[in-house]
Amino acid sequence: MQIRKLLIAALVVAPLTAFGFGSVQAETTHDGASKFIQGFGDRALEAIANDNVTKEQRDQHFRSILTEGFDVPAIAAFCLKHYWRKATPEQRKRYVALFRDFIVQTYSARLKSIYNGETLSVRQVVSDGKNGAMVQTEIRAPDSGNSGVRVDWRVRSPNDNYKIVDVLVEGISMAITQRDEFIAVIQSKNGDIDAFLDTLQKKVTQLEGSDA
Amino acid sequence: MRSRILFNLTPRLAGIFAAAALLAACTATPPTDPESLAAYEEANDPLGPTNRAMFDFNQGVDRALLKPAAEGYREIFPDSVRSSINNLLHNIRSPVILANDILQGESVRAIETITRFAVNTVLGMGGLFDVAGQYGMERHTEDFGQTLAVWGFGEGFYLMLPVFGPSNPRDTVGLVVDSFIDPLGYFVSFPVTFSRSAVEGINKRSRALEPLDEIERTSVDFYATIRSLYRQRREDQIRNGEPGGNVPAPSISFEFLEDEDTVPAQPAAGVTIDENARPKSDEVSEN
Repeated sequence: MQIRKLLIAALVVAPLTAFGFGSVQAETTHDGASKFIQGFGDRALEAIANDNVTKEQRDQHFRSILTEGFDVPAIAAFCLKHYWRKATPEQRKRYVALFRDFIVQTYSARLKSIYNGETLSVRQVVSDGKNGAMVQTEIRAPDSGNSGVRVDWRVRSPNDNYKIVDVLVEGISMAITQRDEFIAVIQSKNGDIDAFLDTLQKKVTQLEGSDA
Repeated sequence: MRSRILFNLTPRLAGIFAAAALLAACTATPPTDPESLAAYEEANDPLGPTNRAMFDFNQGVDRALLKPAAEGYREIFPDSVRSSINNLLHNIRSPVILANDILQGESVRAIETITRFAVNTVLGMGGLFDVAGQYGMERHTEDFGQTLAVWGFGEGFYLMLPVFGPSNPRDTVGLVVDSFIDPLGYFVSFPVTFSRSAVEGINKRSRALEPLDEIERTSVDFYATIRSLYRQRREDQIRNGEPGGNVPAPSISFEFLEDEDTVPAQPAAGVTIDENARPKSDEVSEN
């Protein structure tokens, strides 16, 4: 069960962390964040549950969900750490597009492979910096008794427009995991961002061509 | 006569330390520019090349032995049987878990462990059934590596162990100490404890077949991904699932480009949320 949780963790990505402010404004944000995540989670799980679609259709649907709910450019930049600053505008543009494709290919298939009628329920919401909240939820399969998976969603809402910036599954941050991996790859190429982008491109192409 | 004397630990320990010294010679050279150096130190994997080689070795052993065994295990035994075996293995671990609960001063969790052990052993046929879990008292795991962490010992550096997989010096010591804490070894012979460990390994592997396959399939650097997942998982275990402070997060306002990567408890002076700072949607193609 722990490994299954780890996998669900590795698949779902949405950081939501917050530490409460205690003001009325914070309450409104928490309520809004909670509703946002509940709705978003329900829609995402519903999309995964649909068996009657091709891989392309599922990928396309996942891509629109991703764009709608996540702040992809911010997450992408985070995952490059200090190399984002070193990248040229062309490299950044290429990278964010590749990053989006990579996330779609990686997580769409992973979610499909582990989905089993799970439902998402919000446990509590705490504040997370200015205009931020962490929505702590539990994703539970119908037959698993008490053991649900802890999923925390870090949400930012600078102008009442909620965007997810990280997902933590059982305490494991998807953004940090992805960042650690990308940094390791770039370092193995002695900081050559173009070489890294080529490798990422190859991976995306490989995943797009596969059956999963 | 304790079966462990068969091990004759001291020459083995000497050998391990000698090997460690040799490994230390096979470290990577750190990069020179300050930011890359900072990233290198944050990765905390000075034995990188050796670890990767060991990882490849472990992957080989996994493909040749462990994964087929786990797949066979899954084919032969129905889910209910495997679930019962899983419960039993957890139950047998209770003394070690209890010892570490106590060593960490976790009285509530210690009582939970005792209660679970009693209920599951008596009502759950020796632990085959997780009766306590059905009544809401969920299991938790503890080991001496976590205890050392609670006592203040850092991981040291990343260390890929043969067969056992991702670890670090602290957790490796933890593994050894736990094997001495475990009372089972004092009642049964070594082949039995070895078999128990083998079954634990197969059980664990069988529950991770699809996840690990998927992670490997979609990883650009599987080794680095596993390293990251292992560390974060350990931190979560050490904190007993409590939220940790100062987890860096992607920032809409790109504060992290100017300041530290940590989420400030209060907005830092001079840091403003500037919507214009983020790349506009039309700058990057959103298809």
